[in-house]
Amino acid sequence: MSTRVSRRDVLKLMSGVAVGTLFTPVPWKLLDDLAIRTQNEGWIAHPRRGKLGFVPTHCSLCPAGCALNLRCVGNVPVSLSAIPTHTMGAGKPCPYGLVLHHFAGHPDRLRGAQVLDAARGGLQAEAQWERQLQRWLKEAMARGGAQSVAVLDPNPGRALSSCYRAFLGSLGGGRYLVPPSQESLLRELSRAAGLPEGTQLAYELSNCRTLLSFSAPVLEGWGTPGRVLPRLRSVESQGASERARLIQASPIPNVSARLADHWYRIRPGSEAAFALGVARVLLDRGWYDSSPASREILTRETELLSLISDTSLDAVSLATGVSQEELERSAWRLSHEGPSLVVQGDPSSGVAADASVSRMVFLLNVLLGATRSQGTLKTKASLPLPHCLRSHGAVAATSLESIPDASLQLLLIDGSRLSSALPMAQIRRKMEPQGRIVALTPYAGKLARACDLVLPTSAPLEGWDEVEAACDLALPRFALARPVFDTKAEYIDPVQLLQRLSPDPKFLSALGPKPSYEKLLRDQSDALYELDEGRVIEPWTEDGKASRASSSSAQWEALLRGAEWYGEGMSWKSMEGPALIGADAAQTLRRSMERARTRALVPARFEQLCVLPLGSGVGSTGEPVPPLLAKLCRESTLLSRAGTIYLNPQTARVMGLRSGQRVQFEGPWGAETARVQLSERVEPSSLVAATSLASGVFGDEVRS
Amino acid sequence: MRSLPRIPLFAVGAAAALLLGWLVFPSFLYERIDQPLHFSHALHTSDSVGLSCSDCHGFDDEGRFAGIPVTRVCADCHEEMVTDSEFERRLVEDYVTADREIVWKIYARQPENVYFPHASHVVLAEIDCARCHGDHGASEALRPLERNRLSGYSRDIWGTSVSRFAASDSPRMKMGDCCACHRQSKVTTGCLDCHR
Repeated sequence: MSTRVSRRDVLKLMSGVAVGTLFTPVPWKLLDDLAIRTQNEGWIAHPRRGKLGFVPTHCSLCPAGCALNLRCVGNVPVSLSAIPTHTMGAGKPCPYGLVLHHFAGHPDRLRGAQVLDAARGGLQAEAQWERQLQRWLKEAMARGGAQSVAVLDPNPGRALSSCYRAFLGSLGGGRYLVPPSQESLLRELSRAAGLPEGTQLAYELSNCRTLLSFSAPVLEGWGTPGRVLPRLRSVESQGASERARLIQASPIPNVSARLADHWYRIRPGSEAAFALGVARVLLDRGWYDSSPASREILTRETELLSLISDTSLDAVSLATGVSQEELERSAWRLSHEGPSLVVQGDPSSGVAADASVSRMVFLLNVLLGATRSQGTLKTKASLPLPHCLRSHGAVAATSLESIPDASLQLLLIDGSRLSSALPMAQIRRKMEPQGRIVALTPYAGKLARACDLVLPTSAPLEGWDEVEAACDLALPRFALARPVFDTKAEYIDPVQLLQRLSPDPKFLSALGPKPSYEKLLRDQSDALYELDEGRVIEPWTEDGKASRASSSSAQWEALLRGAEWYGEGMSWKSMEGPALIGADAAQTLRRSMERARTRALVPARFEQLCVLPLGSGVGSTGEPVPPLLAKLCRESTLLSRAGTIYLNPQTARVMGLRSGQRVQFEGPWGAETARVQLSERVEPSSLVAATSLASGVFGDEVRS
Repeated sequence: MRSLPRIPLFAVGAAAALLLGWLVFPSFLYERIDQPLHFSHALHTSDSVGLSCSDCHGFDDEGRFAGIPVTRVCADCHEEMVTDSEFERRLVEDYVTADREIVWKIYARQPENVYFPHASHVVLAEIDCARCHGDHGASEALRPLERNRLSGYSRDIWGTSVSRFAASDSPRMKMGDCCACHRQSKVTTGCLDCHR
């Protein structure tokens, strides 16, 4: 007897096997196990095993300075968590802070000094960097004097900043420059208020109930997020009535605008006009602060007040695109739902770099009583100089935009930590054609590629760093971020570098034969201890009580353990006495109003677009971010992408551009190449560019 | 020549696959590795000896789990023979006297990229050891470690039920199980709380 197995029989059997297999654990178990196997193969790096330990420290990426607890295996940080009892960070670090321990291992980490090779278009190793730098410094001094040598410090207010200023003083008067930032705006406000030169101001949000923000990214890492965000957003933890209301007047649809309680989409460049309209309503209705100090200011500002009273709300409405009713409603909220505060964003947030905005912001703050003793705008005491710098004359800070074009021969940029993009186009304008730019940075990123010489500094957790107070903190603050990695990576100590470059043989000699950043910080801590007004807080303790250290050594030890020093009693006072907004304020404001009105009246021409820089924060700087976040940064709509411009689809259609296309656009600052992204949120007359492309070029018209 | 009787070949194939998938596949997937020494948790936690889990699996001064006890911990009681057990004789002669560590096969070893703080779960949250490890304390003998031939993980991570459908209360320690427990306890976590 023989049997015949047909093809149909085989197929039936195999089908049965296939269907039966689907109802067994084989498919998903194999899938799971094979996935795990591929993750654990030998060629994939594994975290080492070892004794677990915890190191308290601070994140130094931004002035928020969140207190962190690093989880280390041996001396390698493997993860971290934020300390919830920390007053500033509130246990909620930003995504960058959460991967702070990944920065040091970035593939683009610089391993030695590099020079820009223009011919090859890249960075080449430079062994003789110190000799070359000394030569450039001598040449610059010989050609343009000390004034042609400058240091650009994006993080002023540190002990290292004092060291830069003393170094420039030792050259005979170099320039200490700060890029546009909240600190430079506050300095501008201080100047507008007629306060003595060098007086620092700070916003105080703790008792603010209504915040009017001109494009400041207040919900996107502005100031100290741990203090600002709960005040503006935490409805769950506080009663809705206790939460401060946010009124955002901004031409850019950024996250803060979309999350604000009220968003007025003003025309680009019409911030001063909007402020003027609100001031007009406050004055007309008598809704302003009637304290003697405010009245004193107002009696001096006759020209400004007459301009305000001569400008009709119709004209303001035309210039800003905001109706009269909305202007009146904003003024009512600010005056009746106070204490109120008015803040402005820096040029990287899309606000015109226009002195009239600062002056109108200050005037509004005066009218709203923000400068009174319980107000929301405070003067702020600065940290005392470290002992080692007291015998050296330090130069004053100057804003980058205020120095003449083509006036710098040698510029040293401290790019060790960039929390917002540098206005490279503006920087290039300030350099002489033969001028040299030297950067201190840990990475071969966008900054490094724009400089003639790049010197590697330590990445986060590799070297010493410090945390300064943010713009929303009137108390002086000092906290350390000490090295945690036992790294053998070669990086340059900035203090040693300055000592070697200084022509003064006694410069920093007080720190001993081999000065270092660590010694400078220790010296700063000792100077703080002598103040008698400082208190040390250990953030990880539940009560968070402040106490005075028993000795300077005990204070230093506490700081090393992650404690923070606050200058209690040094400040926390409001501005007193009469202040002068500025004699030229009316003229500046008049010009600003004219510009805004012209923009509103003249129909937009598509070949000439108004550039609005967008975004701040580490992600917009063009510097490398840890691989874990790279995907998030590329795909997230929350972060502006370096190298991207945003256009209205209507604009793009007229110009014949499509999404994803690479275009070159140029303006007075030079040409940039970027990828086009279409967005209905962008006004047809505007071009929104990530800050690393166009920071500091607001209002420049662009031809694309 | 005549064709096969009308056998339901589809059903036969399906039945064979189910049989192989549910019974043969799991036993093939896991290799069984014996522990180096017999140990009775039941005896040690019984009234006659009276130990508790934390007597041997303790926490150090900083609240960290001390892991599997080292030989020194056993030597506290077994410096010399206290019974006439053959297993105890091996412990004393081969390990305690020779000052050698016992290479226990660990049922609950998590992958390298996972950090699990026992202190916060056992001390702060007061979760019973058996919640994740099962009723080890009642076992008469240490069962062999069942090691997955593909992933290298212990079977205890996946759970004793290969389907993960049945015996849902039985201990298992995959990421989804951690997340489910956290959700149930209303404890929020981020990726980097557990992953390095």
